Amino acid sequence: MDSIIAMVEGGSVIVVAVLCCIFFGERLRGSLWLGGVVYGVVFAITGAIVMSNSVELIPGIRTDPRNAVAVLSGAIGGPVSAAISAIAMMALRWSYGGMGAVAGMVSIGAAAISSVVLWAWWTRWRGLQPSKMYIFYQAAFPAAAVHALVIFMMSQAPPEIFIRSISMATPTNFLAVLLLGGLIVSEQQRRWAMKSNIEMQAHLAAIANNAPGMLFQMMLDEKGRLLFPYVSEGSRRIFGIRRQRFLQTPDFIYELLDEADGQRLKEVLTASAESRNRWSFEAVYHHPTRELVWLQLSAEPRIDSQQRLVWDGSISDITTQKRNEQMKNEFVATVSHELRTPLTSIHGALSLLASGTQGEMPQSVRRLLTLALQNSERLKNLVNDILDIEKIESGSMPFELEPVQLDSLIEQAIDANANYRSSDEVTITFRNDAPGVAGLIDPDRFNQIIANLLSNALKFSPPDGLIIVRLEEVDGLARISISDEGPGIPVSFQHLLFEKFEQFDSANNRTKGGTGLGLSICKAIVERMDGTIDFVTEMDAGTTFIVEFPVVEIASEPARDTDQLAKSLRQRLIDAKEEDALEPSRPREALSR
Amino acid sequence: MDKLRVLYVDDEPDIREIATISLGLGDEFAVKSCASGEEAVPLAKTWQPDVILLDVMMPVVDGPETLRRLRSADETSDIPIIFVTARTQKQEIESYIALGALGVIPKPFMPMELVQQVKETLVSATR
Repeated sequence: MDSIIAMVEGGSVIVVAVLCCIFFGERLRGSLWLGGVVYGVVFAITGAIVMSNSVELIPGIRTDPRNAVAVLSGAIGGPVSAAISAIAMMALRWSYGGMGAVAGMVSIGAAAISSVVLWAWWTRWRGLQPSKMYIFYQAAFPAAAVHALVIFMMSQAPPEIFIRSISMATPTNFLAVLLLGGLIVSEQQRRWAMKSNIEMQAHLAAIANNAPGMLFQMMLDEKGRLLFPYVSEGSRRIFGIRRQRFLQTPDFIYELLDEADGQRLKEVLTASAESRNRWSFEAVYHHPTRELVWLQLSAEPRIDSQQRLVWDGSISDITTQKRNEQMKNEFVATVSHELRTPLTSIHGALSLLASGTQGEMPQSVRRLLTLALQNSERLKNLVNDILDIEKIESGSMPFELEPVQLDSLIEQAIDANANYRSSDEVTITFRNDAPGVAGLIDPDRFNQIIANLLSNALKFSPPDGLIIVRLEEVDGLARISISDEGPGIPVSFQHLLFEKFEQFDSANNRTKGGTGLGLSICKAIVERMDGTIDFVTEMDAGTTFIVEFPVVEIASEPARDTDQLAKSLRQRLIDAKEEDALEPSRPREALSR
Repeated sequence: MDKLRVLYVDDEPDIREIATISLGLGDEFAVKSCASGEEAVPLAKTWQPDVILLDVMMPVVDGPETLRRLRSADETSDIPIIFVTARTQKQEIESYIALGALGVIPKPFMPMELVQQVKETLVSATR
């Protein structure tokens, strides 16, 4: 019984040492010398106490966990600690004297050395982060193998004493290192985890507070009321309001937003709670010290560890972006107006003159007039193309897709092109191999594509050249190909063909006009209508542009003859006037008859 | 046979002149023009055009305001109005239609096609 009490006493001393180690260890972590000295002193005192409390478990053999203390000193405190505690314990053992003095001293020294070797190996391999596996190695090697070897080598005692000693000392030391080392390591790991958790939270809070905009976590309680479990410091930047305000009175956000936007927030939360989809919308905020602020609110729903639905999201200030967008729109509108107004006069006047309706003029004047007209046309196209590109890129180009027969549109485009053609004797042939085939397209945009490709083909065709436009159906696709007999597109230019402002530039091509935007507009339009555009080219033989759209079914519709309708309209207007000569005419009423 | 009466309103004298000549081609329309919304309303009341072509960007009384004034006067409230403008961004066109314009003819217009464009806009509105 006494021996058990003594063992418990010894264990308690070591536990106190362990707690000291943890207490100092945290403050002295990473300091080999100072940490080593503190650990060494603690373990030296511990060793002295356990050595003076040895237990006689087997008659004649006194044992204590001194080797375990030496091992732990090296394992936890490193070489300095191991040296201090080992020297102290060896000196104490020497002072006790007796038959096993040398063997006892050697066993303490060997335990300390072996633990330091293991410490060095582990530190190099894994860094200063002891684990339970490390403690197991520390328990197994020094306490068993080295210990046994030392005793065997150095013992002058009879084999019987030696065997009894080893059978006691080895397991006690092994178990002591395992239990106490494990205790130290798990306590250290717990504290480190806690500390790194706190550090991580501080990191995340710093990141969240410095992120642009306001980050938040939002949820609805069981009564459907809004709660903010977290709001970042960004609330001050966005709203000029402290984050605590949101945490304490979450409904406050509805007061900040316009009534419609607040309603919108309620709606998106309800919808997102059901669909579990991300939500995002724009709102305005009347900032107390700034002008109107545009906000972008967005959040992603998820289920947290307590099975509650929460939204992690952000509110960002998009005022600058909104203002830029507005400025760009205004700029485009102004440029388009300011450029088009003089162009309307120039182009209009030249067109009227060239049409011959204002009287005949000498051949030399006509030639100059044609030049001026062609260039005003080019300028007009440039303005239109730039505006088209802007519209396509900003997504504001309207597309009204409907199933339309392609052959009639192609014929119209060819006819329209023929009207603008100069005197070059280029022939355009239409091969219709898929009469009536239809695509889901916007007729005006389709016309723009064909007109553009035709004008390109004409531009590069030799005089008296042939352009073949072909419509066919291939694997469920309507394929329109436009082939010319031009010079072909050089390999070096092919990859730039659909890029903006790129034109194959050679001496005679500049004179052929064009803005360098046509093909990039074509490509953008074709792709918006679910089609593809490509080309095949051969130098000095010609180029074929191929546009494909998925074929759709179409209900047959009688052709509209606008001219016919215009005539009947006029007749109806006249009839209405004759019928009601005394009353002022009412064209709207007449129109609706 | 009476010609369709067209009133063209634009503050740019050059464009007004070209538009007047263009609308007169083919001798299908009787054309009058004026330089502002202020002139347009009384002229429309007395002359009773069948259609009014309105520029959008005009000083003092712009196109949309002219449209409102024409709509609010009994004598002119039913006259179809077509905007002729260089401001043809999507949202702009939508706003003209929302105001009650019959359609939009973009500037620069093609003089040789203007008559046809006016007719088509009128016809498309009756479909």
